[in-house]
Order: sequence, then structure tokens, then C-alpha cells
Amino acid sequence: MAKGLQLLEKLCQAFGPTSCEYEVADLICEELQGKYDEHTVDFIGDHVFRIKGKTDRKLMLSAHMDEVGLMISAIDEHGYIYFQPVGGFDVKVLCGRKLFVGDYGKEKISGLIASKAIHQQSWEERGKATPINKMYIDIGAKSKEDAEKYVSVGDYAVFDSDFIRFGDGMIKGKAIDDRIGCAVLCDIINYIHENKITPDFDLYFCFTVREEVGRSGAVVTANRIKPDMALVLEATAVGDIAGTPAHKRVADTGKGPTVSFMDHGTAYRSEMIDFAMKLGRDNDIPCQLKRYVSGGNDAGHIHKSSGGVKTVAVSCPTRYIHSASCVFNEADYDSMYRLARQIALCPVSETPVK
Amino acid sequence: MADLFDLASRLTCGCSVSGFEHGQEEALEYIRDKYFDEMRREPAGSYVFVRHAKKPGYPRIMFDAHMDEVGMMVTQILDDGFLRITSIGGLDTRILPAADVTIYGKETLYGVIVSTPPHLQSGDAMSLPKVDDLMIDTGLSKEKAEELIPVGTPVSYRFKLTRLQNNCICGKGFDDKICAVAGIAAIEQLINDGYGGELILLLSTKEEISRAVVAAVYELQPDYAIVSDVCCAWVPECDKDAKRKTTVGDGPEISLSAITDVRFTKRFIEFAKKNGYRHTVCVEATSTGTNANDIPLVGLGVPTLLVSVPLKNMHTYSEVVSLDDVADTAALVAGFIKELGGEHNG
Repeated sequence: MAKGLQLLEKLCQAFGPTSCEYEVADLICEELQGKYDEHTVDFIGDHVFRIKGKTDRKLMLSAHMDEVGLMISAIDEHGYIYFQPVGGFDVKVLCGRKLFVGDYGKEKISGLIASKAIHQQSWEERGKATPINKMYIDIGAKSKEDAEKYVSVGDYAVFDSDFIRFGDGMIKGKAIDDRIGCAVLCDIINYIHENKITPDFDLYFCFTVREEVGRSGAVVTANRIKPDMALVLEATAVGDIAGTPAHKRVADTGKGPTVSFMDHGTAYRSEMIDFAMKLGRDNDIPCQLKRYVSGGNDAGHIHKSSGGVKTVAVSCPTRYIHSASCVFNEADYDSMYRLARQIALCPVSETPVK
Repeated sequence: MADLFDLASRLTCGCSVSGFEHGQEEALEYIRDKYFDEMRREPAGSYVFVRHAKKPGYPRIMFDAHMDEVGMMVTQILDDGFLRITSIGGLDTRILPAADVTIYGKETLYGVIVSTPPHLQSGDAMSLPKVDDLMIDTGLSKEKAEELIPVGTPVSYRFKLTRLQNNCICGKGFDDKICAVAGIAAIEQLINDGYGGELILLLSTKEEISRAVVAAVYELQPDYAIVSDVCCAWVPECDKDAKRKTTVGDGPEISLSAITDVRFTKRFIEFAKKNGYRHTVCVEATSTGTNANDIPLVGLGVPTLLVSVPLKNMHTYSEVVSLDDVADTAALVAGFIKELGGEHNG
């Protein structure tokens, strides 16, 4: 497995729901030790690693560290643990899932999301998803007091899901959104460090918090850095499954990262889209337009920050996003890394902010 | 006491979807070598393990647990290596979208059940797709999928046996292999105690479909049958069986039913009470939903009782049982077999 994918595996296995991104940040800090000019952490937990460029034009490269998760809201008399979602879930991917429950710096324990067995459901309930308030987490506790030995209200839970290769070059894991962006950023820093490159842009590698709840740390980071240009690295939901017509697929796994023209947070400047697509073409890097207006990401905050920033979003096409089993094509990781690296190391004079 | 976690992990890791119970040979041979004189597979597919009598004068006692589990079967290979499936046994469709599965094709393959992205979903956000409308993502090309995965290939939940608190474990196929574990633990205890009678362990097949157990019992014609299966434990939000409150951790549940054997069962309950074995009693007047429905009428008739291990999330990859309950079931069954054999329970 390529070095970047090995790091991605470690990042995906980390426990990092929104506002609890510390474990992910620890791994990133360890990986990047001694490979940057400046490292800052703001009050909400965004980490920014700066690599000084030949010019003072600033390029913000951004990926978020948080993943969708659950927050423990109550423990009942029998020791069953109720929760609220932190981030957008399709309720249908929750029931039955194994979890790790805990908090940063606390031992994580195993649990699972449960509800009544099929034998205990009424005919009306069968064939319907269970509402979130009728599901609970079971850790094997006997009572409220017993459960409270291991879990407190305010703790988090994330999926327990392994990172594996399958099929023809596919990978399945949790939290691909957006540890894949974090891994690509680390890979670029490693490349710059190993090849002793001084980039043209002054590069700000931003590992942000709280994207999954919309109140994103990228706002704080962008307003602080005031970049001239921004690249957002993401994972984007795709529907390239058998029987889906082309116009509803969003993008296809295996055909390179997507460049978004529009999503629910941003209408991207066409010169930024053309810039990224041309870099891909000129360097034989597979990439594709995201062909559907769906989703949203930190670009929505960044492009409107500090008087406006020319922003491009490059995303890995990912099936079953926000579930325990996100699926992407490992070749797309490589293409996404190469395209992002081309953008990061592009001479300022060849970009839309010249 | 046998290592229950080890036995559970051996018995639940292979393919044992109803009708495809062929992925268990290694575990079955381990059990045969450790506890029995012989193992055979009878024509309908059940595995019969026999430990011959060491002394004369004992009744022939059979312990039955079914070794099949619910699962899926491949019905069609689609473009880009997606598979159409159908269910084998009563699947709980709430747990299927984005679930991990194991495909037992020419190679053992990983797959994930498709979860339709929100922009492609139409209608009620809470309605679940039927199994026949689901697909499995194999990540393979259509050609490769066709080569490796013939139509008719069984598919099972993929899982990791996980320990929870209070000696509870979480995994798949505990219905009913956790009761096989209880039976094996009971037999190990009887062997250790020097029990002299014949002991038959029946790991029956196709319970989830057609209860093929009767074929094996016809040939065996035991004097007594002790059937063990899992029962749905009470959980929150569960109002259907409000009066049935056995929970995981309460010990075995004994089923009292007009169609098993009331007198035999009452003798069992009396034995449990007299000797202080933890248990609960559940009345299922006219159906137990298990092999114990069918065994009493095989051949000349077989006195049959049903003892159940409480289980949560039945028919999912996150079934939960307490190993304490399994151990208590084993101890109760072993004690009662000694009583039936005329040996005093120590």
C-alpha cells in the first residue's frame, strides 16, 4: 500500500467526531514533525502548517479533520445509552452498527446501535427505518450505574469499521470524509520536504474542525490567513451504482477526483474550474467534473471569507459516504494527490490570481 | 468450563447460511476430536456427533441446536460487478444499507450492501428497500464478478466477534450456534464428571427455512431431546411482549408449551428450582418457533424440552448474548442429564 494510503488508514481509524478532532490532530502533528516553517493552532482547534513560498501570495489548502459521529445524550435505568447525531446521517445506516464509545483521552469501549429485533416489531414497523430516538447504544451494561462506569453524557461514539482493500482496487473504511483530504495534504508536505522544494505560493496547510455540523472552523482559519486562493480537498458522495443513469451519478469512482462547478454552498468561479481541469489534462492526471449540484463543503465558508477568495474544490468520489462503509478507488487517491500537488506547486503567474 | 468465547468464535466464523452449511468443517472436526467418538452428516444435511455409552443402563439423550443462520443468496450479476440478492430466512432489513458482507463465491470476497445516496432516494425517507431491490457492491468488473460469483452463491454478514461489558459478546450467527456452544460446554462438563451414558449432539440444518431436523431425529430416535435455541430478550421500546421480560443476563429461559412436552419440561423446571439454577420460565402455549415444535412428533414420539439463551438483535450481525447465560444453560443441562441418567447431581 502506498505511503499515503497507510497514513490514511491510520487517520481513518482515529476517533475524531466534530469538536473532538484531537486524536486526528495528534497523528497529523506526529506525521509532519519538522517538515514546516510555522505551526499554529487556534482556539477552536484548527491546525495550520505553513511552508513559506518565494512570493507573499497565499494559497490555503484545506481539509477537515472531523467525521460524522454521535453524542451521548442520556442513559436509561437499564443501562441503554441514547444519542443524538453529530453531522448528517441517513438514519438507515445506523441500526446494528458497531461503535467505539468514549472521548479524547479516555478509553474507548465497544458498543452497538440497537433497537427491537425483527421478531419484536409490529407489522407497521417492519420495512421502515427506526427513528433515531427509538435506537440506543448497548455496551452490555446492566444498569444506569453500571453504564456510567464507562460512559458519560457528552461522550461521543464513532463507527467501528476496518480499513480494507477489496474488488479491483477499491478500499472500504469509515471517515474517508475527510481524512482522505488530510492524508493528501500530509502527502504534499512530505513531497515538498523530501524534495527540498520552495513553492511559489506561500502555502498554508489547514486541518480544520467542525465541518460536519456546518459551523466550520474553516471560517476562523480563512479569516485569519486571508488567502489569495484556496483549494478545498474533500470526499464527495457519488451514485455510480448499477442502474443509475449518467446524469444522476454525480461522478464515477476510478475516473479521478472531481472538480465541483456548484454545490449547496458554493458556485465556483469558472476560471478556477478551468484552471484545475487544465492542470489535470496537461499533466495526464485523470479528473472529472462533479456533474450534480449536491452536498457542500468548507469552500462555502472560505470563498466568502475576508472579502472573497477564489476557491476550487477537489474531491474523491466516495460511495456510501457518512456510513461505516465508505468506498473509494485507490487510483483516485493517487490522482487526487497529484492534482492537488500540481495546484500547490503551480507558479502564481499561471493561476487565476496572478 | 469450556472456553466459551473460543468455541463461539470457531463456530460463527465460517459460512453457514441455511442450505450452505459447508464452511464449518474445521470447527466441526475440532469438536468431534475433542468430545466425541464419531461425527456423520445425515442425508438432509444435519451433523450428528455421538459419544458412545461407557456404561449400560442409561437413556439415549440428544441435545439439538441448529447450526444454520439467516443470510442472502446471489440472484444476478449486474454491470460494474454489482449483485442482486434474495434473502435466506427472515432478514431484518433495517440493518442492511451499507452493511459489510462476505460473499462465498469461488473465492471468499468482501462486499458492501449498497446504500442509496440521498439524492437518488425517492419517497418516504424512512422506507427501507426490500431485499430483492438491494445490491451488493463487489468492487469488481462485471466479467470478474461473473467468473468468481456464480448465481446461487451464498452471502453472509461480515462481522467481528466483540466483547462488551459484563461478559456479553456481540457478533452474528449466535442464533443458534451460541446454543451449540452451551451444549458442547454441557457435554464437556458431563465428560469431566465421568457421566457414563450415550450423548448425542445434533447440529441441525435449515432451521431458518424448513426445519430439516426431523430427518436426523427419525434415524436417531433418542429417548429424550433437549432443544436449545435463542429467544428474543426484552429490550427498550419493546411493547409487543411487555409481559415477557427475560433479559440478557437473567440466565436460561425455559419454554413451557403444549406442543413440546409439558410433563418433561415441568420436571426440568422442578430440577432447576430444587438445585438453585438461575432460570426464567416463558409460556409459549402452542408454538415455540423452534425445532422443538417438530421433534416431539418424530418416529414414535420424543419427549422434548426447549431451553433458550436470551439474545438481543436476533437475525442481525450485532446479536448480543451473555456468556454467563451460556454457562448457566450448560450447567443446568448437564445437571439435568445426570438426573435423567440416574446419576445424582453433584
